[in-house]
Amino acid sequence: MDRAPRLIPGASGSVWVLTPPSSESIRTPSFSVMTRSVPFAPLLSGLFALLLVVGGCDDLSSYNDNPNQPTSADPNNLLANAQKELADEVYGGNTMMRRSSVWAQYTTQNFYPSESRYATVNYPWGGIYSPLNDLKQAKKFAISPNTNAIATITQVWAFQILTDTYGDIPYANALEGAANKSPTYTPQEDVYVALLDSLNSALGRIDASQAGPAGDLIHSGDMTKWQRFANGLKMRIGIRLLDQNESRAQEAIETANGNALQSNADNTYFQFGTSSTHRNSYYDNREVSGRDDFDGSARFINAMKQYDTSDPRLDAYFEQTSNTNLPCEDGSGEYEGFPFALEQSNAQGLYASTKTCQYSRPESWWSGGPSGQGDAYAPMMYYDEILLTKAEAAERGIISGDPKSLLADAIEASVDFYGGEVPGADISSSSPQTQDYITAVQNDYDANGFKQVLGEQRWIAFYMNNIQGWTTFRRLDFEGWIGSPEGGVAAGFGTYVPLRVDYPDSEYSLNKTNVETAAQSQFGSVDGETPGAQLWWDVNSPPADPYQ
Amino acid sequence: MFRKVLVVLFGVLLAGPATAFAQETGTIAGTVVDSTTSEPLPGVNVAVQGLNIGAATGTNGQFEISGVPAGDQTLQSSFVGYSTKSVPVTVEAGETVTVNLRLAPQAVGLEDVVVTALGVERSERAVATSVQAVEGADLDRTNQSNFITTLDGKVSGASIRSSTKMGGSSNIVLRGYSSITGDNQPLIVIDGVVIDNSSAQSSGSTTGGYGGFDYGNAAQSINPNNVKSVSVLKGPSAAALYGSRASNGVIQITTKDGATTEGEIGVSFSSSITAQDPYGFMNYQNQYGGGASGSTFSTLDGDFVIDEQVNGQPDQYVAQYAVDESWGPRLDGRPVRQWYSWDDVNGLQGAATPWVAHPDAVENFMRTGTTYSNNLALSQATERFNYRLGLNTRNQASSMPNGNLERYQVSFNGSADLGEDITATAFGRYGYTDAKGRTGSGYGFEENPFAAFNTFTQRQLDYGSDSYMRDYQRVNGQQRGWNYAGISGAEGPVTQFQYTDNPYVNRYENFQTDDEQRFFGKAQLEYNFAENLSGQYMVSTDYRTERRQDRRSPISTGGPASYFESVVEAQEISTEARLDYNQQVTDAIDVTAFGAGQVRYETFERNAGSTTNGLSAPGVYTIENSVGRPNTDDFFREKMVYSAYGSVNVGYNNLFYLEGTLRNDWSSALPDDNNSYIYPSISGNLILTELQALEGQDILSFGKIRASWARVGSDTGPYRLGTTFPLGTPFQGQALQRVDRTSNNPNLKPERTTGIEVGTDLEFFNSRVELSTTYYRDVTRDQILSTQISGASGVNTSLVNAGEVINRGLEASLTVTPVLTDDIQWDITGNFNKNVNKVEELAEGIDTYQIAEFTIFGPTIEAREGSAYGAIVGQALRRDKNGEIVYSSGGFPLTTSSPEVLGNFQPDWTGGLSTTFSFQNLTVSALLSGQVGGDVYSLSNKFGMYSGLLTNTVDNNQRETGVMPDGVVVPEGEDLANSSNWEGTPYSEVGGRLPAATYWKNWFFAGGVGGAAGRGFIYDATHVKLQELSVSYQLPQKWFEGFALRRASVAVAGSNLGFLYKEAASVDPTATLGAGNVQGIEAGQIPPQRQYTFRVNLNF
Repeated sequence: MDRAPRLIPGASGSVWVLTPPSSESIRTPSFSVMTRSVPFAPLLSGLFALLLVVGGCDDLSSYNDNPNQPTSADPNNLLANAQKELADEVYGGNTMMRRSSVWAQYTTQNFYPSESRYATVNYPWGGIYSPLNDLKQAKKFAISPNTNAIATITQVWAFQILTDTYGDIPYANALEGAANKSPTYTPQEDVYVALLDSLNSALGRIDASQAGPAGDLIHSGDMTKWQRFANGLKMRIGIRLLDQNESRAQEAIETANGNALQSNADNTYFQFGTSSTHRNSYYDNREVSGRDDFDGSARFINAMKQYDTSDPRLDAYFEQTSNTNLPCEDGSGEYEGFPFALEQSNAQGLYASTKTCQYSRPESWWSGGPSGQGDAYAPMMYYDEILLTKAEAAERGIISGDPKSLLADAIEASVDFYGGEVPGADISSSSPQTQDYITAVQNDYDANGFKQVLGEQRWIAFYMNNIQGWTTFRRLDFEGWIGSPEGGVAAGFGTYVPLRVDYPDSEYSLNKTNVETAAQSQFGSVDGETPGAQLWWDVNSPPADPYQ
Repeated sequence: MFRKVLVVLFGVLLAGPATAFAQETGTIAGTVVDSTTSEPLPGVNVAVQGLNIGAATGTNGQFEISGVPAGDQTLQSSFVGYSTKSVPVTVEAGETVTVNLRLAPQAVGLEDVVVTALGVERSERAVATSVQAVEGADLDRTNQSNFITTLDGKVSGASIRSSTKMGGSSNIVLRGYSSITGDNQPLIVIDGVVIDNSSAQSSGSTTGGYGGFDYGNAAQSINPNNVKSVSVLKGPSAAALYGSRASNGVIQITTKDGATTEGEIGVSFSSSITAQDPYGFMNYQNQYGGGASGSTFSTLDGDFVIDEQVNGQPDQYVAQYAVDESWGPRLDGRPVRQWYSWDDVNGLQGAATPWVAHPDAVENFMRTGTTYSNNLALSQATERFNYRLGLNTRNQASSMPNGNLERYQVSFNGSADLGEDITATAFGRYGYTDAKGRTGSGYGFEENPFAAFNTFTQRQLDYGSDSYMRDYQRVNGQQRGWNYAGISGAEGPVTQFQYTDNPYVNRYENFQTDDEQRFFGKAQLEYNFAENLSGQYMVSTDYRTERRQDRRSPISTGGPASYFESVVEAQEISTEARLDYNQQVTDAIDVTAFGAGQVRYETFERNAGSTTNGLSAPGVYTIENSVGRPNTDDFFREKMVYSAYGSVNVGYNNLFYLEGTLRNDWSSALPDDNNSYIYPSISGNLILTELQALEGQDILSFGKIRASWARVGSDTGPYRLGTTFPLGTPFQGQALQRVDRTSNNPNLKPERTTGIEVGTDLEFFNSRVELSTTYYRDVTRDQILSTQISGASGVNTSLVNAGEVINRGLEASLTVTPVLTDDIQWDITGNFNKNVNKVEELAEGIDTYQIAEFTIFGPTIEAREGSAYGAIVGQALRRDKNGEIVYSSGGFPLTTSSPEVLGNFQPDWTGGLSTTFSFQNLTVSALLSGQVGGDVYSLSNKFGMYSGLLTNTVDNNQRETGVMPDGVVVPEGEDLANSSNWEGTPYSEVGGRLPAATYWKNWFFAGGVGGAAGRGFIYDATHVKLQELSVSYQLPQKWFEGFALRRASVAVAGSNLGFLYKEAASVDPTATLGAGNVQGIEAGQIPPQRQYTFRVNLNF
């Protein structure tokens, strides 16, 4: 191309001039042709383009309105999302559920036992705080006090899980988004009291004559059930608080007693969906991906078989053994757990040399049970827990009642619930097996006391409500079942089972000062912040390791 | 063309009679060619020294000078960009002497033209910034699928990683990583059209090793055959005029046009075939087969003893199909019921077959890939117009079964003088790419067979195309595969698999497909207002639309059948108006200046859908065939940027040049009151050899020193200012909304990079030695960082302006021509870059930023304050005072409790060494590339050892005798935390030999599953690679004189030929999982492939 400039007098031409798009037609810039006969037009148009550029900046921001996402939120949508995400997080197959199931020693990994052997866990908690923030925003946008109350009650439920897992947690300054990037930690004792206060204020706000929000995926807006669940949470919190703050604990239990869940009809759970987006991820892991990583733990199944009459709930909790591969249940009526947390080579050897169904796989939560097509229940609170709490409160003289008959009621309620929910589990409270079993438990209660027997029964009843089951062991320290993995714990944190979870690694990089202060004030030092350290409400050391 | 033929014919006819009349003079005739390429040079002046006669060469390089007085004469030829050459000739009266001249190019000649920012051609002496040119011919030698790969070793300061997968991405970074979260790849500009080179795979999961597909980036669609030259603008100074997107430098490509042909239509055709031959497989062991550690064969009746009969049949041994590891029984040849013996597909139902090794199983699974490439170009140049029309096809059959990639391109480049003062130029390229069966990457078991081959499998398996594995389907349509969940999983009515698909199911059932159409081009008018003033107006666009389809067959183990589809449409339109001015102000001072305005508008749209809960009608892969409500994702984004820019360059007496540039951008992605950002640059250079002091010496033939300073800004993507509440997939009719987990920031500011550089360009001994060196220091501040914040805040990340990254380094390029004679030219070029990168500062309260929060079972990749960008971070091995590894008494390697920097993916220095040797028509060239330092984490090694697949899990008979950990244990009374202070007690004094499986599994678990065992599975990426070797031969012209063929050449080239040296065991450390900021991760790597290309070039 010839680049040498030449001058031709009187040249004129037709020139393309750019018109910046108006804000009405934001997607396609438009171009128009201008024809001028003035010789200097081309020169001017160049400058004109420059001027346009400089002068046309004001409407630039109109290109930056996000068309993909709404800029405001419906509190129903936020509430629903939070309930769903919290269930995913607490009961999802790859998150807390999976690990807390081996903390409570309900199940054990068979082929890859590292989590069962308590290898270091870095469990990030953002997955719980984020939906808690959705609930906070839902309250902000909410017009109805009932929506506000449900959001608060759901928050309390989740915050208690957080503090029972870690100890002191960011609470008072949490959920402020970018406005507070490194929230301070609130001591567990203050969190507990604050949770009770929140429940009381939520209860005060509920108007049961008005419908609850459509976005409530747990009780479909039934405010009476929410009232009962809130009272149930007061009892759960109260019984855990009893050893450290007796007055608040008593007050909570007394005011809630009689107002909490009244029957299995009030059972509170989140039910996952059946679509692949919304089903329980444990189901995905086992049924869809065909992985077979978890069996029932021999320790737990043996505990359920400790009396002459086995716990009838075995039929709902686990698959029967058979000398086959899948599908397992062939009516043998036998239940056998896989040895808990074998060393890997032993585990693999045992797994590879036996058929899939030679050990009982968890049932009620997965195939065959209410999990059906992945739409399992994420248990939040069942009626039998209320009865067991009442039994303990009665035993400890806080409320009136007969502990042993409350214990019997609790087992009956639990058996009936699972009998009604789990297809193929032919169990009921009136069956001789259930009644014989209750008798055996009551005799045991007389012989070994409430801590041991109520502890065991709460543990058994909380199957798949893993955090609560694990907490029961930490609080009541019942003996004989939960202990160290075979050959000792791979990770050396001092105790044979985790008593809490390490603060997430990310806190040490993102919120260092505050997490270190929390570690210091609870455990004396950052090095002392281990899974072996006891939480504030956990006043007694764990019992002797039965497997040593 | 015919005319030319006639001329030649007539010339021959007339030659006879002419001799009768001109007794006292003779004729000199011949051809002038380039001594390196043997290509004819048109337009070369050939003169007889001392006489006023001469001629210019024609299109085919031929010349003829008649009437030359008989006697000894000196023939002299000169041509821009080539050394002047003088040859003695004896002319005899009435005779024609043939003299063929070979002109040697001056690599950086005095009058070399350099293409600087915005395509401005400048004399090399007037350029004060670091620009490295690569000739198109150097890129076109090997038939690489990705253009970026061909730059490896040829550009100092470029760190390049390429994919081993068909059509995969290449990652290039110039002068180190500067942006912590933004793009670090240079801008690609083709003939003034900016090309969106963002990696088409945006998810970090692919680069983090979790699987998925690498769809490649735009750079791969550039056909090297159309490239005339490449100009690499390194650093902010060179690229300042390109604005915000150029802070990582610019790769500026000039395509071939028609200007080099004369008059008639020229036709060039080239055709090549390339074979891709995989090499560098892992060091697989071949002594033990599948099974759990210490396992023996069980028997049909499960009693481990071969009894007489089971159910009336002889009892047989059974392999452990359920265990996807190779800690099983020795491959001793005994008859065993293997996975294929449970049905009658292979006629082996019920048969026990020998338990033997198949050492070449993985190699036999792959095949030799082939690529056919054809280029046809028509070009013509007249006084009024010139054009070039190119057609290109490329058909590749992958080296993995059932994969192919086809590409068709049409390009046009032309310009016409519409009047005395108006020139119109148009450039456009349309390309269509269609791929099927790209190889999945990383730890994706459903799409990447190497995920299994390298991590979890049984070594006795045979995968070859004639193996039993190839029959992957039962008669009833179910999958046959090796990883059955035990015997009854294999023989039951419904086959049950443990983890892994038959690899042929991956390739023939779960394959993906995609196609892309892309057009980019420009139209430009140039008008000369006056002698010194011209203006131009340009409209350019880059448009692409792409469709990707990914399927999972119902016979695959990974859940029910599914289908994913996404359609992307992306476009960028820009218009530019520009005025150019140049003026020789005085005898000594000349001024070149321009000013321009530009408007750029970008859009990106994606519509994606995926099925849920399976497909209703089997085998119909559509979204509407979903059983559940399909998940959909519609996305639209747009951005508008206005720009004004200009430059002034003042030259003084060819001695000193000073240039200033200024650019201002207004971006729609930034807040209204802060959307304008300006970046200036200033540079100057001094031509030493113009100084009087240096006159009259013949050592330094050219010398230049240069210095520059620049500041470049960078904006961000759209929609990062306001708050939104993203929608989720509704839950049974209930809409879901959440607080955005990423907190936007309404007060963002543009990022700023400030760079200085100084350098010299020196040529010695008549340009036989050329040295170019540059020192640079670039500081990037106010980075737009999406910083992680405490999850307890209720959001995961928050957008801030913070951080500072410094890159400083030295680049050098040295070319030596040790031999230069009439027939021989030998050039050696070395390129070198040492870059020191440091993350000076991150956001307040944050000293580490995770570039890859999760890598597959591996360490994190971080930007850490005080370390280089790309730190590989994990728990480190504890070592005692003597550096011995500290083990627990159980033989468990112990690690630090807190994570430490274990390595870095950026190299310490990179280099390339190339040489070209030409002898007459023959040219041989070779290229080495390499790097020192840098690290790569290898998942294949980690799991290959965990699963007993690699030779180091069988060496020294360890399966039988066990392994003694080579290290120490904590001595009594000492604290593990102070290990570097004490000397440990040798492990052998405390513990015994460990079973081999325990030993290697302990290594895996050390430091947690993601701990990478200190440095156990992180390898030094230092290597030297034979990148290219080629031989080309220009067929002698006389062979086809009289034919329409003007010239022809053949070439044989090899590329990616192998490592002369590397540290990393078993894997290719130069391979990448995809372009982007997450690098240094190997997972299920497809072995690299050597490429052998045979090519024919014909010009008519």
